[in-house]
Amino acid sequence: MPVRPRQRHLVPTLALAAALPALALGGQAHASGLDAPMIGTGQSGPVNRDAAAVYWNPASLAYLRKGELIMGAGLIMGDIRYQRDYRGTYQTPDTFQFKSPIDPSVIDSTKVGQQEQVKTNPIAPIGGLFFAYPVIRNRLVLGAGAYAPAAAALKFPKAGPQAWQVQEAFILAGNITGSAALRVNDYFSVGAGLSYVLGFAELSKLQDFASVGEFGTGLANPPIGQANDFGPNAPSEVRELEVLSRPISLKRAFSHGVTFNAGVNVNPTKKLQLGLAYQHSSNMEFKGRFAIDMNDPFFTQDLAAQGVQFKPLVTGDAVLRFKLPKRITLGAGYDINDRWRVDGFFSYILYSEVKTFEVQTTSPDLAQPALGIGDTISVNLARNWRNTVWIEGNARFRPTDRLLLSATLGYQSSASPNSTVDTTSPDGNRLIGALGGVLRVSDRLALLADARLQGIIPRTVTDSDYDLGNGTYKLFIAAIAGHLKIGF
Amino acid sequence: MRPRRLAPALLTLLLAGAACVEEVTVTEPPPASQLTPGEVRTVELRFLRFDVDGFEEEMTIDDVRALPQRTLDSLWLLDFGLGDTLDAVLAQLRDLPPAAADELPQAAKNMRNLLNMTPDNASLVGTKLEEAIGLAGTVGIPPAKVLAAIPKIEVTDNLVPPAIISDVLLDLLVGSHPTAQFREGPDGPIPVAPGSIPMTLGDLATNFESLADRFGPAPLDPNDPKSPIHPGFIKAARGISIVEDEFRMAVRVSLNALPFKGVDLGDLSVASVNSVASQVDTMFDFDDPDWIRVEGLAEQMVIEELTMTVRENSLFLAGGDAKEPAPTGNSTIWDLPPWEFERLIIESARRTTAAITPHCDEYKLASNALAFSACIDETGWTELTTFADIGNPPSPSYFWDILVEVAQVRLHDGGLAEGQANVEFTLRDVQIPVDTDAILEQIKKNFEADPSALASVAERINDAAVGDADFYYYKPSPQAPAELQGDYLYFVTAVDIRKDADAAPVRPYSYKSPGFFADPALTTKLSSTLEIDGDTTHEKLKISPGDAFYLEDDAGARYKVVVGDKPGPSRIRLDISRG
Repeated sequence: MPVRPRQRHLVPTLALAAALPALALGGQAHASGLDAPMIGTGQSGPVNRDAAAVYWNPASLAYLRKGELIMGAGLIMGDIRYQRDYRGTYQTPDTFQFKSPIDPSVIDSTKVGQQEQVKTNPIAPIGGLFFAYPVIRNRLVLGAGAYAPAAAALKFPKAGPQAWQVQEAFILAGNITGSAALRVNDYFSVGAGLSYVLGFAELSKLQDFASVGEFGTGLANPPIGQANDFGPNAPSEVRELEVLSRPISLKRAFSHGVTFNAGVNVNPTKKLQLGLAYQHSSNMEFKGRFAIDMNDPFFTQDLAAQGVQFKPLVTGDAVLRFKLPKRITLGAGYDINDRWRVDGFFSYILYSEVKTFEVQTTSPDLAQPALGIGDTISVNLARNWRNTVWIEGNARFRPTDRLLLSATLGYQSSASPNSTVDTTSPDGNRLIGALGGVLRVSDRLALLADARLQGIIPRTVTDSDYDLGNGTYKLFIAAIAGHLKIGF
Repeated sequence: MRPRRLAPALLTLLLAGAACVEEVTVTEPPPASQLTPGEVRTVELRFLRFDVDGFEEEMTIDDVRALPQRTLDSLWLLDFGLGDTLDAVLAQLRDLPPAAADELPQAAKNMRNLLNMTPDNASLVGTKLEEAIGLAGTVGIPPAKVLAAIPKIEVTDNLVPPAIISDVLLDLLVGSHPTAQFREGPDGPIPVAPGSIPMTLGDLATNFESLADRFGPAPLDPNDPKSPIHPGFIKAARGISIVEDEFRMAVRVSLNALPFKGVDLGDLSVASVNSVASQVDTMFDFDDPDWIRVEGLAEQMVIEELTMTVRENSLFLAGGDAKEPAPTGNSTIWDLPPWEFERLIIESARRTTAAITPHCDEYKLASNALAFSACIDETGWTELTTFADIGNPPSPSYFWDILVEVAQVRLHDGGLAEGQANVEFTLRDVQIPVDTDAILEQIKKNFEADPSALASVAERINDAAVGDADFYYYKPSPQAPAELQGDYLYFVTAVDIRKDADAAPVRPYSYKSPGFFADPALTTKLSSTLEIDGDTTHEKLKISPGDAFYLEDDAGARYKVVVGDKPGPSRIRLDISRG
């Protein structure tokens, strides 16, 4: 169809391209649920003076009196669960009615209510490297860092009820940043950093062509001219049909970008530190290879006379574009006495900038000349995220000169509204807790250990658009890391 | 590897290793093969209904021309009346400028003269009326007047009106041609409307290029090697067009656009059976006034070049001289085949005569004494009677007997011997007005009466057949009665046989025992042609998990099929072994 038939009438090629933005939802990992739970050490923050200020607030680097190297490694372990709740009406998957109301005889009576829970337990290594050195003592400090501000790893069952959302995903954004901080005086410093952002993404899912507007349009337009409900607003009655659910993967997709951060640090008193940091957005453009399994006679054979004929496996280049959003962070720290300190921060993250994802696919195998479709197609997918807040507070206690202990409580709000949430970002209002310790081995060497836990309050969604993501989401992430801090 | 390439390669390796997202791949199915004795193989079939409603299949003239010739020729549009065409052709020949006429072959020139033959230019020498020349002289009037008075026309009027000649050519010359009498139908020959030729989609597509083949010499009975040969009447045709470049033919259909999935028992491969043919009785909505649209028929038929022929008899055949046998008289011309020139002329003359009312004309001498009279009665019997010693009157005869002799003489003007005056004339650039509305209406009516004519085209446009299934899986439409709902296997019929690039079946329908049976000997048939969704031709068997049955393929091999558990509401699984 629909594609022109002729533009001949069916346009699955467009649908194919439209499948890829959905893969890009892995980028949602940055939005909240799978934000890298730890950057730097548990003792790092926007007003804390260590080399990890390269990320948190480069202005804080200015108060480092000596060179410092932080090296760390750790593990992230997750437990992510989803129990889908089918609240819409569906037809049997091996039928093909494309306009509601569908015939009652083909309504799938088994696709109702709670489905079997699916879960994934990702384990991924984390690491970071930060360096700072005062090139002009008490005036100018240069810093550098390599860290991963965003990461996601999901591996759900291939045939689970979430398969149309995601099957597997691995998303990583890594920054290599160079910073400079200027100490204006004891009360005020400024700093800025320039980052090279390397992204890597691999994803797979079942792409539901029923949700692709171009597919519906191609079917509706001449010469096929069949009224249908396909498209982004497709009701559940026409979704998740077997023939239109095509496995798709994106592999080896790299993104190269540049961003910057900047900050100021104000010390009104010797005990009070205030910091304000701005992290600029980063345009991620992942370039990789896509593959989609079109090996169904419907696409490879049955409509060939109408100009719709794909190879069983269509592969080509894919470009996914989305933005890591801007964020503003206000931090404060107060040294109560020699043993106690409290600090914390408030971040406001402008996820509302993220309305859509854009994808461009190119493959000679996409071209369907009879339908007027070329080998390159660009489409957008709406997300409609919300701005989020992130609040954390820390208490730090120094029982001995060599030992420092810390405890953290925090909260992150959800970026995804109920209407668009799904397992590509098992998102929710997140509670954060962490414990950390520092053992100063010598004047030059310290060992740091951190454990950080995050979990969303189980989120039950009943008003997902088109019943795409209704169900209950659970997420728990634990990160443990050890760092070595070397002064010189 | 150069260092600048090494880094990204290592990075890819590192990250890809960490990612482990499985890449989508497609596994090639194992090659199909014959069942070995004792082997049981499972085949899964899916029935997918892609019901399109009011789907319009539109073809441009180029699309039409791309169809196989067999398909084009099989799609009869209408019986196209040749009356206007013949009228126009004869009129152009008759009205050729003298300079152009001079370039015609002598026989064609003579034919033109015949068409223009009037009492004034007719030569009566050598005919029954030759004596009338003398009689006319005695009364001082031109012989032409005597001749004109019999049919009550002016001396410059046509002795035989062209319209009558045209009608006779249509009725006898065209009407006697086997191709103009019957056309091929799916169930045998179908009569063609009198005075018409069957027009197919192929004629439109090819500008009637096959006209000369179809209406050239042809045996009256193709099955009889000794059959008389009709000499035909079209020797060559080129550039006959009634379609414009903007020609569009669109048919609106409502049907399941996907093929049926079946099994080729030869190698147990899953095959696709074109579903169009089996839906042809239900796919058109004749209540929709736009169920078929044909646009771009020209207001005028353009004939770039057309060569027509009419054979004459090799002998001069005299007109009759007796009233009996009534009503034609005794001329041997009546015994000639209907396509021969003399036969055509005598029939034209007879029809001309039929329009003459009985009357007598009297011719007097200067003394006012009656010299002779010329009378024609209601049968056309014409008699000249003399009343003075002015000579012998011609012997009486029917008026057509007179005219046919006049025409034969005229045809051999210029010294042509008998048998050498076969008429052959080529006309160029003739434009004939066409009643497109009437043609369209007729096409529509014809298709409504027999929509199967469109099946071959629709099947071609939607050519989705793959492989050679022996049976296929079918589920009744949701609108079918509840008691019919279920899973069915349909044994293929002849219309299900896949077509090749020329639209010919790729294999003969050679099943000796179509259907599904309860026993390996195929003696107890389980299937029937029960009507489902309008289909009454296929052997059908309703199946349920656990059912077992037997069938035979077109090679005579027998198989046992056991129905397995259903993998889905619209899927079946069959365990097949040699029976």
